Amino acid sequence: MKSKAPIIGKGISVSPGIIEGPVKIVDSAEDVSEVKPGDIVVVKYSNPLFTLAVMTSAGLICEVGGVLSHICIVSAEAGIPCIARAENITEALTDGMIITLDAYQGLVYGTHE
Amino acid sequence: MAPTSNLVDDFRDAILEVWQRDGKTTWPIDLNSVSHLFIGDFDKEFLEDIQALQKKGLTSNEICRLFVIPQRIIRLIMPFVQGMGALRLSRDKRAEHVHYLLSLVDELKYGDPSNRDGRNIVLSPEESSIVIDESRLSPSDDQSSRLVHLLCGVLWAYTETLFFKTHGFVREFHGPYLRPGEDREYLVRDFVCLMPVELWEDCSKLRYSKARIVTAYDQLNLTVDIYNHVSIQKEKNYVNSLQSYYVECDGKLLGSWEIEQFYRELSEVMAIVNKRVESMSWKMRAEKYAEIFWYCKKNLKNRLGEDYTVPHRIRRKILNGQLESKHRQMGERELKVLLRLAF
Repeated sequence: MKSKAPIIGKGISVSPGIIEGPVKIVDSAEDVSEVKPGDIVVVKYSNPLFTLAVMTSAGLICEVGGVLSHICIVSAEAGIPCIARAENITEALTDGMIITLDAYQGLVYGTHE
Repeated sequence: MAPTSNLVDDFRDAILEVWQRDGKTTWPIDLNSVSHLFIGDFDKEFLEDIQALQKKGLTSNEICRLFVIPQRIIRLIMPFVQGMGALRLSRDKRAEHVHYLLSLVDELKYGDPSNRDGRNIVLSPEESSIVIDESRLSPSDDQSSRLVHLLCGVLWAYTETLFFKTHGFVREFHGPYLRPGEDREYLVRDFVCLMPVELWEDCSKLRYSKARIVTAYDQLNLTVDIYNHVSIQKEKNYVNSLQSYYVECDGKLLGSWEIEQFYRELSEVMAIVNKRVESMSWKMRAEKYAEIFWYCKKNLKNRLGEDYTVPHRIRRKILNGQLESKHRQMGERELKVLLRLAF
């Protein structure tokens, strides 16, 4: 099934897990308050406030950074699947898109065909 | 001659390893772009403080305890090296000072000062047997494990909000401690300064100033690098591997309800301070960085009976200064050369 879903992003695995859910791009304090349980949070850069969004979420995709980026460390600590260094991912995704995050392989899949 | 002991060589190797893996953290401003405005003056004062304490007759053991945790000294070393460069100290002199600081770390820790064995062993076996007290540890389940790790995560983010990238000044993650005949790995997360009201008056709303989280994991193969980054075996996670834990704040053991309440308080204060930071100009952020550096040596100044705050001339220098924008990400070879040249 998964092989038929298009890969729309690649990164490095930080915290393992596979989850499916709607995208929520977080770029401000207002965005943080809009995150719902089950959302997959997507951030361009690390800001400690965004970790509150990560805590509520089901997964995290970080456009820059690496395994030692602070937001990724927090995600790993909380056992939330996470990938980092997913180039241009904030441009490829929009709020509400349903995606599958395979944080074992560092892959982001779109909706199944 | 510069000291050539293993202390300095091991430190250099350990730092290089972290730098190669490090995700560049620039919130709320790249420290490298503003540190030139205060780090030379900070170093000069720092060296004078230590010399004054020595002159006063304090032993190195008494001096190292003023830093509270080894990580504070470790995190000061590289900015200190940068500042010594600004002061145009010779490489030998720099190496001598780095060696001295590492010797203080060595006095504060039971294990290897640079964690070359992959462990950050601060406590002696006698001390760790008291901290990892079986009677205080509660068995974990899914819910409590998730809650404890959410608290760990929010504490990390909270200290980063208050102390920016240099929040290593106020936290020490140590372990894994092992007990004979057990497979469990014990990790201690200490947060030693949650209410720096001199930096952020908003944190007076918090009810605890210190937090210690002791966790026992089942076969995570934990390692801790020199900057206290904890790594675990690939494809495992903390939440599923927790066996038992306790959370102690200001000497009080917290139950689940109190942990939840504390989590909410930390989140609230963090949001308030974060909003404050986001509204600051780059110069105000640079000034706050200077305040953080001076704050972290507050105990030294207190012991000397002197004012610990940032001198006015430094604030003026920041006010009239410019951002440094000429740095770039270096490769492994360049980093090695830089470290060799530095001390």
